Amino acid sequence: MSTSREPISNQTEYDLRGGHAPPGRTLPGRTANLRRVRRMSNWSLAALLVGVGATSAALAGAIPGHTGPALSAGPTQASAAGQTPLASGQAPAVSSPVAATTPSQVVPGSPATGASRGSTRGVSASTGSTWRDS
Amino acid sequence: MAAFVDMRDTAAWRPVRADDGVAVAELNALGTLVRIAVWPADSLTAVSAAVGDELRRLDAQASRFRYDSEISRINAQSGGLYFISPGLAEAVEVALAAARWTHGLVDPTIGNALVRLGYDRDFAAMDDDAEAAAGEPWPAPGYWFIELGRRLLRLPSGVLLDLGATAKGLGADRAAVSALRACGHPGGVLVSLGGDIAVAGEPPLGGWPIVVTESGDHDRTSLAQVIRLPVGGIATSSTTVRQWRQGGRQVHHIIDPRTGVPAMGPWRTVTVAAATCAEANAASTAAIVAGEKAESWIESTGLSARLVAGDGTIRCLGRWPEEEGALVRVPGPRMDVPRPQAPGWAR
Repeated sequence: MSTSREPISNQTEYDLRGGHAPPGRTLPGRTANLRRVRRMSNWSLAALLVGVGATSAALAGAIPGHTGPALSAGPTQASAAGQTPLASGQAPAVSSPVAATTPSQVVPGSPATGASRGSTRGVSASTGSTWRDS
Repeated sequence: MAAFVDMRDTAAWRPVRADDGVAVAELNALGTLVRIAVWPADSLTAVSAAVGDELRRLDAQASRFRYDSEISRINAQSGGLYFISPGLAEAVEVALAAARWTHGLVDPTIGNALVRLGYDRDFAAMDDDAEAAAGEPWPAPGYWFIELGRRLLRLPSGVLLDLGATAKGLGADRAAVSALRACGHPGGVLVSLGGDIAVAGEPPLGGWPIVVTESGDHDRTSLAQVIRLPVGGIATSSTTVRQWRQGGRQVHHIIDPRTGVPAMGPWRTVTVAAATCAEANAASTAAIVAGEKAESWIESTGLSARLVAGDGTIRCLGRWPEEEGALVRVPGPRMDVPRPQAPGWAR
């Protein structure tokens, strides 16, 4: 007996769940088409998601000024000083410089944790290890 | 006799300010001024202890001017194979990475050249009135002679290591990371080792405000500029400081490894912002050494930089802002610091 003569209502449940037809039974043309379309839609959606993810990852790495994942860049607009009191955990607005980048200044007498060797030219001892830098 | 202070002793730090929700403190160490800034302000004690601990470790590992440091003990011998501490191994690896990245414009084998020029001791101990004896220039043998495999270091005979172009920047990076751990979350820290600055965690709104200047802390000359740094590090190199006389002429501490004599390019001061302070430190030194080619080299790296010429002319490169108080854009890491692999002779 041909499956195509069977009432569709008998097949709808497992067909629309995506199940396979029982052995020896053939799905009617309309149901088979529906399954095909749905399968294609699923694959298209999956490909779209993968594509969006890959594009996002690539763009994140390529954007100039990207600062890496470990450190948060925070807001880029400086806020005016004299704001309302900070909520707990809120980054402060700092109005005046907290440090200076300079060529390394020598600070005579700056203490160190360890000993420095006396000079080979008659200076008896140093006051701390000084770093050659830039 | 030197007065030794335990840098972990939080009482040794001098409070500078505690306003705007940020606490700032200073310490004289490593022969220069160390400054930390932290928010929330109540974590200052924990942060200063963490930073002091990192500085003490760095000093014991990589200071060329401490006879008992690890690097001094290695330099005291005439080459050989050494099993070194993880901290020194990292410092050497970063120095080698900087040398590769800059094509030898900075080079850790420059130790003998510095000694020949008279920079053979703590700079603070160098007598202003005395002249260093003139010696023949000693070009750096070349970083490629150094072999590093994890913690095994092989140094050829006659090579003196000097990690000055990267170690202080690395120290600032290490200290900032340790400070952030001590600070907790949310929070942010800034660590400045004599002007080499690293930041970590969440910055204040708009970034950490920092003065870029050629001389003196917070010196506001006409050449000074305030910028805001959100992440990474910033470092300044200059030929205008750490000068001495040798053989009847004025010399400075930035040596061209290729010639063994002080760099004589058109730029007297270079400031670079980068993903890490070690990278910024290496790049700013390399730019001074590169001389006429400094601009093209910096542009090839994509870094943001500010160069001051001998006549005071200022040139901004990359995404360095010309406006006062603007944010400096920091690119991702440019210097490749691979994990040390076992070299051929150790496999």
